[in-house]
Amino acid sequence: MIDYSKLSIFEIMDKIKTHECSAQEVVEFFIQKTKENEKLNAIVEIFDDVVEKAKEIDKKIQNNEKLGKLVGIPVAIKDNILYSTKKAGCASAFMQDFVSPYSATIVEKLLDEDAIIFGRTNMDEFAMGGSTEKSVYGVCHNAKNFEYVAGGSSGGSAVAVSAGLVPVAIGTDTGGSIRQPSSYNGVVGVKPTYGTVSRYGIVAFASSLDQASPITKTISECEYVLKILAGKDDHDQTTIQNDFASDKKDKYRLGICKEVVEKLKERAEFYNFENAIKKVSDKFEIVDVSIPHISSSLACYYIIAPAEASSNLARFDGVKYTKRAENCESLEDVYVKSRSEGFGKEVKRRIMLGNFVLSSGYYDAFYGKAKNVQKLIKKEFKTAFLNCDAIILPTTLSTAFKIGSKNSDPVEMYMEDLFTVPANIAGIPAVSVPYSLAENGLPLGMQFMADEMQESKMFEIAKIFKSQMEVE
Amino acid sequence: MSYLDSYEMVIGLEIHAELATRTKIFCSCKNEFGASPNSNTCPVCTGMPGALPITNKKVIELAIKAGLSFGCEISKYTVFERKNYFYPDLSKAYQISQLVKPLNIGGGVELDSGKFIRLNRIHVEEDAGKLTHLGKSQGTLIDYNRGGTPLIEMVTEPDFRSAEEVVEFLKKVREILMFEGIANCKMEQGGMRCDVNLSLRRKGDSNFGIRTEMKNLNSFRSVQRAIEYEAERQAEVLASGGDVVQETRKWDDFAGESFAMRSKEQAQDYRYFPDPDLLPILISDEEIEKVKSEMVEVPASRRKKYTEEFGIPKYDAELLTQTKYISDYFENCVSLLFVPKKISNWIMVDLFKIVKDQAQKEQNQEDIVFPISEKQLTNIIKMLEDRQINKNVGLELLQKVIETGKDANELAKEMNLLVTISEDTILNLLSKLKSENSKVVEDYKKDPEKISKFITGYVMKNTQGKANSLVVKNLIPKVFSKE
Amino acid sequence: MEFDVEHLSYLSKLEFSEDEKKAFETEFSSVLDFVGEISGVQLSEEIENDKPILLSNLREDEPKESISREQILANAPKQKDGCFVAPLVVE
Repeated sequence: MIDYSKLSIFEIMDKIKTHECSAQEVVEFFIQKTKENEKLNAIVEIFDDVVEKAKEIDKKIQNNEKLGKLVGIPVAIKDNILYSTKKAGCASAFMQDFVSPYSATIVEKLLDEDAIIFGRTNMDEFAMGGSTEKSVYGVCHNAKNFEYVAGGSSGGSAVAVSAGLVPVAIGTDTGGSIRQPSSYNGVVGVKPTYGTVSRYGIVAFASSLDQASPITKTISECEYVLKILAGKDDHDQTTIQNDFASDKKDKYRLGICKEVVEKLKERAEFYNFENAIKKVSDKFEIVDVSIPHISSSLACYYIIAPAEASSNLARFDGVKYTKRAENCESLEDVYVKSRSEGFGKEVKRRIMLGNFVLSSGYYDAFYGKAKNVQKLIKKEFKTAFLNCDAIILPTTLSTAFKIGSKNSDPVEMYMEDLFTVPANIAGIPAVSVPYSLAENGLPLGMQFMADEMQESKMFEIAKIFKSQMEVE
Repeated sequence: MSYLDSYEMVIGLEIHAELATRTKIFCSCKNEFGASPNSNTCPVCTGMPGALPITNKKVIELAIKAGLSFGCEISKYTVFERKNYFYPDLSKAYQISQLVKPLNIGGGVELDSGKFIRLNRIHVEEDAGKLTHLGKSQGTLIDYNRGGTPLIEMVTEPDFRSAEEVVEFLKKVREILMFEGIANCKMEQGGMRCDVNLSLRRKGDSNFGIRTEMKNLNSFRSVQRAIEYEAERQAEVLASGGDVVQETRKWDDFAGESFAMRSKEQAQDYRYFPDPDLLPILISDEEIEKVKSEMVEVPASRRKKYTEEFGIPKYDAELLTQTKYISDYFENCVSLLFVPKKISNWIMVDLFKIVKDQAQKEQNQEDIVFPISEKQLTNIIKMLEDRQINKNVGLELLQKVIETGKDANELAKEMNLLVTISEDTILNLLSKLKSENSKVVEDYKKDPEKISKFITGYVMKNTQGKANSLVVKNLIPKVFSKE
Repeated sequence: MEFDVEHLSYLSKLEFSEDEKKAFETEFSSVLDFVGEISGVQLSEEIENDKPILLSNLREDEPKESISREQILANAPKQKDGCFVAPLVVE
């Protein structure tokens, strides 16, 4: 039997289209694979109609109908993406039983291309967290080492791809929620230019930062699927027309951000980073760039994201579509008890923080200031990209950590997002590519950031980099 | 003596008017009153997870028109913000509204006294759903049909000093909103409603007192009564040495009193911030000009024209400008046939009667549509003017045109209603009268005007009324002036 | 800077035990110290407006059908006569 988990989506589609195998065989393989790896807790539900859908695709092939660009490819979606008639629980006790009454735009796009929406992946509750430990479905385990966290919040999606449970999984990235787990599990994950992918039908965390995007094994697959998800959407005013214009050059200029190097220097992982740069030094022109306020991205992020989240999550109130607490006497009771029982600790913490930074008397100092600092950071990136084609930096400070090992100090936890958050704050694309193993044997990801709508160039640079890493 | 005598009222208004669009402000659901609960809803207006708002262009255009109508400055860059609070009629737990960058700034309305009431702003926002309170055991029902209906909120400065000023202002505002097609202002449906902020101060003081807010008053009468009641209540509190409590009160029209609302006890902190799901809107000069070009003549100016140029009495001019439809209908008729007074009479007497008879139940003035086109009505009036028919025949013809939808002139011919007696026949009759009745000849010499009526009557009688009285009138001198 | 847990709980419609409240206060003071860092960031006088959408690019006023009322209400913990149901609201 063919091990489809070792094949790229292009190879799988070739086999399906040339009748070497059927879509049904492919999907059954991945169902089997998912069941064997149930203990990873990456995929929380395989949708009950996947075999049925695969048969429909096979019929299309038999009838020589026009085929989509993802024919027969099983795609898992994060538990915060709506697919009509299927559950979407945001890994929350509050929303566990929610059945989507409509489909997200990206789900429609995947279906239009004959992909098979395979199932739902585990995540941190309402996408808040970086380990996929804070899930109503239980902890998700790292694909490379069971004792370690998956990363998050799209941990289930990254683990599912890394462990070969699906060839493609969709995650969402607000401050690194795709790239960090991709880095932790040795797969490729991208966060596109803000507005490239429609947010319609995706449960919002921080509206001005959220982007959904694919996680795959290779850069080419990632780019290919992203282009399918992308596009202006009548249902999302913030979407843009991203043409993925390419800008081919013989030698690209790769920027190293000196403020990032400052943060990295004292860490063991700095060796891996320096080593990687050395390996590619003749493939790129390496230049120093400066984003003076890059580290303020984190403060901006931890103001803007909770502020928007506090408002976005206010609709979950035990009246319309989330569980209602029992024994409620009054409306206030329904609100307070349902929300207090329904939301987990981290979600509550961020709602409280968000309401604080928006509250009367503090708005200007926090939210207002953060929005303005965000503009400053955007400008600094623009300036930096005048001087380089992409900026290279690690995706994370370190590898995945042991499950349960992080203490509850939120600030220490937030520091994990230091390198991923700037791309969300600046609204620019960033991709994480596995490049090395750390001393503990776990993968490390390298991140490339490019200017707005320069995804094609960014992927091209990442590919050149990756090919050099493979020359050992 | 009233406690009120030593105090002066200071009143400011917040007026909400539902805009006359086909769809809601942020989704493509129908903007329609009276549909069955939650039948005009979608993921967006029910605040479903993942749903996103998409702004309706027409809403912004109508709101610009409102701004132009009241002399506001139109912001070229306007921003929607979220106003956050929990209430079951608010599906997202925030209302999309405007705070820092409202669409229209300033402006105002002049009262008949010449006093100018200043507007602070006119901003755009979404309406909330409707709650029906069943009782302790069954709870409150939530219907989101109205949720997401586009509103403009007009905020005045605290410039009013009496209930009468408020009511006059509201009437003027309503009339303009309706005429411009901005809002239907059906007050009994909540299409226009008003929050009244009222405080008292000792006459001669310049500082403002502590105010209360009365929400959602939806008739001129309840506005008037609520203001009078509240002013009296506050005056009593103040006169007895007490302090007015700043609070939100609900007016009970049936009981004729207001009471403090419990649900609004805690001081609110709405945590406004720009809605990240919506982009700021950029409006060009050309777009503002385009809206301006679509504006119509306002009722006050129309009334002036009717009384001064058309010689129509003031009261009639008021009736003719009740709605833009009636006024336009009247003006269209006048442009086809310049007999404004006659047309006015036909509309106000005959057409109104027909409309009233046709309607099964009491009909709203604003819903009046006449069952005959301007062209056909003036056709009938023209025949009457030309004495081809008389008034009774005209009315008969009016009914027939309404019934059949046919052309009035053709119907008149078909039904043989037009006068058909030839000039020769009339001349013969006149000559016969002259030769047979010397008294008539004598009388004609003394006062031709006076006797003409008798002569005409004679001709009509001998032609069974089929002679054209105008023709008769013209022919009389030909026969009787001859020696 | 005062972090009023009571007031924020009210705004957030959340309730906490006394222990949780205490924990929050210490946690938040460190979080706020951390995010408060931006107060030191110097900004240029001119701050650009956010990118707008043109009036002409907004949605046309054309009604469109959506999902059914049954689907709208399907996830409601309680429904009656085509409506969501909340406990009696006292005005």
